[in-house]
Amino acid sequence: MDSLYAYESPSMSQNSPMINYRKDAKKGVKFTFMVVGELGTGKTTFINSLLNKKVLSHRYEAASGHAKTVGETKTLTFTSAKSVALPNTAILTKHEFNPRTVNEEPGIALTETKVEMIDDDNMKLLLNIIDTPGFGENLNNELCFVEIENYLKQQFDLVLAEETRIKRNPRFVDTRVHVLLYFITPTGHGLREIDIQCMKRLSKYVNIIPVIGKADSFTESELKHFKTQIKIDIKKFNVPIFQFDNYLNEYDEDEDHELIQECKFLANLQPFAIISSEHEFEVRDSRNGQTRIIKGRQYPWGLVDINDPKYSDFPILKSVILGSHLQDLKDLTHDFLYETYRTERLTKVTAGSNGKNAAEEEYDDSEFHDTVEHHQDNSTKNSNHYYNDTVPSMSNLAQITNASGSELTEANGDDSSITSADSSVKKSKSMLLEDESNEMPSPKLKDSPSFSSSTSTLSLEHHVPHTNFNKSEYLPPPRNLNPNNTAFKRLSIGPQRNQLRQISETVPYVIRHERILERQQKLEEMEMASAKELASRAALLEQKAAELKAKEKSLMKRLELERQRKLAVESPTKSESTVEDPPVAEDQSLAETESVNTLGRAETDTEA
Amino acid sequence: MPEPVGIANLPNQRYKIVSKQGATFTLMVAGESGLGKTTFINTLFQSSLKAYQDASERHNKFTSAHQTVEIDIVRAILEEKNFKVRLNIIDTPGFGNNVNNHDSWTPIIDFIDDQHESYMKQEQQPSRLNKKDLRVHACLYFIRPTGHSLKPLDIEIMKRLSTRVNLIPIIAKADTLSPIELEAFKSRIRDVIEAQDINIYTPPLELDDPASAEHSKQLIESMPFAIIGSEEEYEVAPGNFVRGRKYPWGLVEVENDQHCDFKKLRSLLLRTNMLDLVLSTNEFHFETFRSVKLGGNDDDAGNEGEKDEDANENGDVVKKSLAKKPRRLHNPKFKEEEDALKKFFTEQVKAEEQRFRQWETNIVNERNRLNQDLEEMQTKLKSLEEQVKKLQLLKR
Repeated sequence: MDSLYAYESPSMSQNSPMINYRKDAKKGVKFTFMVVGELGTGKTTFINSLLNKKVLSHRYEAASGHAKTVGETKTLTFTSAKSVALPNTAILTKHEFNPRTVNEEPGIALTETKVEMIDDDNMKLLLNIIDTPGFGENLNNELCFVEIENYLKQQFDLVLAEETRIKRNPRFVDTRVHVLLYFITPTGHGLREIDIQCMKRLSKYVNIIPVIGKADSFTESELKHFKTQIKIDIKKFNVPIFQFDNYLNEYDEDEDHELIQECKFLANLQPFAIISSEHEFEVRDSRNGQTRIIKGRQYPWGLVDINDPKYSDFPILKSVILGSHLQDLKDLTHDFLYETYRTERLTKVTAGSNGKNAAEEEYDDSEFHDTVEHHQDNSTKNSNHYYNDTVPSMSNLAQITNASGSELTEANGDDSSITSADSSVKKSKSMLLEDESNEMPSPKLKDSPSFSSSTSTLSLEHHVPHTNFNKSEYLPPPRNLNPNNTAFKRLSIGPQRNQLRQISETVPYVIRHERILERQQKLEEMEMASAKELASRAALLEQKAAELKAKEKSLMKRLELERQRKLAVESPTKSESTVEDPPVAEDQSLAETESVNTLGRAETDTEA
Repeated sequence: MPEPVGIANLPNQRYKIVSKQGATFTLMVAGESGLGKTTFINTLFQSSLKAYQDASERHNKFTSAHQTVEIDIVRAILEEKNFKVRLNIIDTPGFGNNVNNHDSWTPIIDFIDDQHESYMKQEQQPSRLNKKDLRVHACLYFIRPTGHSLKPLDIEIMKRLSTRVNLIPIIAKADTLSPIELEAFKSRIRDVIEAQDINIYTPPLELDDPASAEHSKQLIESMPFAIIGSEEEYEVAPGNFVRGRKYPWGLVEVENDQHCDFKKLRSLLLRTNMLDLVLSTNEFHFETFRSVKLGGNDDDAGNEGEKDEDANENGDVVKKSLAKKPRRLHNPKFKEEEDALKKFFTEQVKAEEQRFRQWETNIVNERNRLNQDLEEMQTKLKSLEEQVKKLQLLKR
C-alpha cells in the first residue's frame, strides 16, 4: 500500500532504523486510533476509505458483506443516556433502522475493530480502531466525554498496573489509544461548545488531531474561512491539539530541512479537511485518453476525487497517521501523555493509601534513582573487572567498608597493597584498557559526594597525589571508592527496595480497587435511576388502572340507568304487578357478572 | 340578454383591496447552527435580508463556548410588481449548539405560544384595528445532512413545533449527499416522521383542479425538501447567470430540479400555498390554541400528548381533570442557573462568615493577650512600687 512508504521517511530513521525496521516487520506495528465526532460527519466512511476495504458497516446497514477483519467488531462499553438498562442501548450496535425508537436517546458505545494490514515490503500493521457511535446524539452529551475519558484513563491504568507489577505478563497487550481523530461538524461557523469541551477534556489522555468531516460541503473560499475560524477558536479557548511543529527545534536545520518543511506545512494545513468515499469510479484522462480508477463521490454536477490534494487533505492525513507520524504519535503517547498521567496517578494513589504517605510519595524519585543506581552498579562492576578478576562479593564489600570506615588511612593502604598486587598481574592485560578505565572513574568521582559521606572525599584527598606519581597506584582509589559507594547505596536502597516492592504490590491493586469502586458507584447510580424509572412507570400504570376503573363504574351506572329505563318502558306493556321483581334481579345479576368480566379485562389491559 | 348583476365582480374588488393592502407573512427558520439558514433566507427572497453573524462579534459576544438560544426577528417589505409583502423572518441562533441541549427548544416554543397569546388578547380588546400579528405562518426546520436519520433533539423539537405551526422539514446543505444517499435519507426521515406522529404541513389536494392537485402531489412526494442555498451567481452560458455554488468539481445550481428541491419549496412557500399557510395558521393552529386557552376543554387530540409528556417529565402524576396545561413560565434552564447561582452565593456568604468569625476569634485572642500583658505589667508595677516603698522604708 502506497501509504506506508513513509516507514523509511526521515522521522522514522532517527533511532537505528534498520534494527527497528526488521523487528517491526516481524512482529508488526501496533497502532490504535479512535474516531470521535457527531453522527453523519463521515467517520465510518473515512475508516473504510483509509483502509481501502470495508471494515466497518454503516449505521443502518446490515452487518453482512464484511471484508476480512481480524476479529469481529466488539463493543467495549456503553452507557445509555438515562443510565437505565433499557433495550435502547442496543440501537447503537444493532444495524437496523427502526423509526419508532429513533427518538430515544442512544447513549454512547465504544466499539473496537482490529484490522491487519500488510504493505508491499511485508510490513505488518496491526490497527485497532475504536469507534464511538452515539457521540453527540443525545440531548445531554456530557456523558459522552465522561465515557470516553473513562475508557482512555482505564487503558492508562492497565499499563500502569502492568508496569508496577513484579511478575509481568508477557502477553500483555497495550491498548492505549495513540491518536484521536476528532471530526468537526462542517458548520462553517467555527467550533461549538461540544467540540471545545470534548477536545479539552480528552487531550490529557490522547493526541488529538482535529479534522473537518465532509469537507465537500464547502467551496474553496468557505473552507479557507472555516479553517481560520477553527484556528482562532482553538487559540482562543486553548484547545490542546496535536502540534506538528512542536519539536522542530530538536532537528538540525540543515540535515532535516525537508522534515522541518513538512512539519511546518502540516501545522499550517491543520485542521485537515477530509472527503472520503467507498465508491470507485473510472475516469478517463482527457489528455492521454487513459482510464484510471479513483475513489470519489459522484454528484449530478461533478465527480469529487478524494485523493485530489487541491481540495481534500485525505491523502495527507492518511500518510501522516499511517506513515510519517505513526511512531511520533506512539512515542508522544508513551513519553509524554502517559508519563504525566502516571506521575499524577501515582502521587495520588500513594498519598491515598494510608500509613506510609510520606515515604511513598517519593516513589517516583526513588524509582528514578533506582534505575540510575542499577546503571551505576553495572558500571562499577564493569570497571572492577578491569582492575580485578574477582568481583567483590557482598561480604567482601562489607569488610572493606568496615575497615575503611574505622581506619581510613590504614584501610586504604591495605587496599592498595592488595590491588597493586592484583593489578600488577593484570597490568599486562589491562594496560590497554586503562585509558578507558581512567576515564570511567572520573564521572564517578563527581558522583560520589552525592552518595557517600565525607569518608569518600577524604579518601579522595588522600589518593589524588598518588595519581601523579604512578598509574598503577592510581588504580586503587576508584576501586576503593566504588565499594564504598555501592555499600552506601545498598544501605540507603535497603528501605527503598522494600518500598518499591510494596508499591509494586499495592499499586496495581489500589488501581483496580479504585476502578471497581468507580464501577460499583456507577452501577448503583444506574440502579437508582432504573428504580426511579420503574416507580414512575408503576405510578403511571396505577393511574391508568384507576382511570379504567372509574370508566368501568360510569359505564356500569349507565348500564343500570339504561336497564331501568328499559324496564320503565317495558313494565307498562307487561302485566303490572307480580312479574316485575324477578327480571330486575336477573338483570342485576347479569350486570354484575358483566362488570366482573369487564373488570377482569381492564386489569389485563393494565397489565399489558 | 340581461346585463349581469355584477356579483361576479366581487373577486376583482377583493383583488384590488388585497393588492392595495399587501400581505403579511411570517416565516420561522429553526435548526442547528451552520446549516445555512441565513443563506437560505437570502436565497429565497433574492436579496440580503439577513446579515451574517459576524465572526469577530461572535468572539466578543461569547466569552465562553456556551450559548443560549435567542430569538432574532428581521422585518422587511418586499415589493414585486407593485405588490407589497411585509415579511417577518424569525431566526433562532444558538439552537443545538451546546453540550446539554435539554430544553433548548423552550425559547422557540414559548415564542410561538406568546405570539398566539398576544394576538388573542389583542382580539379581545375593545379597539382591535391595529393588531400586531407575529404568529408564525410557516416554520422551516433544517435537518443536518447526516445521511443517517433524525436525532432525538430533532424529533423532540419537531414534535412540539408540529402541534403549533405549519412545520416544513427541509434537508439543509443537500449538496453533500449524492442522489442515492439523499433518497435513502429522505425515506428514513419520512418513516421517522410517520412513526413518531409528527404532523408536517402538507399542501391541500384540490381534487377539482387536476393541475394543482398534481403539483401538490409532487410537492408531497418530494418532502422533506433537499435544499441548497447560495447568494453567488455564476455565468453558465454567455449572458445567462444562475445562482449556485462553485466547487472545484462542478457547479451546483440552486434552481435546478436535478440538483435540489429549492424551486419546489419556493413554490410551496410563496407562489402557490402562501395563502393556505396563512389561513391554516389562523384557522387551525390559532383556533386550537384559543380553544385550549379559553375553554380549558382538553379533549383536543393535539394537546393530550403534550400533557402526557409533562406528566412524564415531572415524574409526578397530574390529574387529567385538573390538567389545564400549566404554561411554563420559567425556562428550566434558567432555573438551573438560578440554583447554581444561589448555591454559589450561599457558599460565598458562608466562606465570608467563616472568615469574619476567624477574625473575631483572632481579635478576641489578641485582646486577651493584651489584657494579660496589661495585668502582668500592672503586677510588675505593683511589685516595683512595693520595692520602691521598701527601699524608701529602708532609706528611712
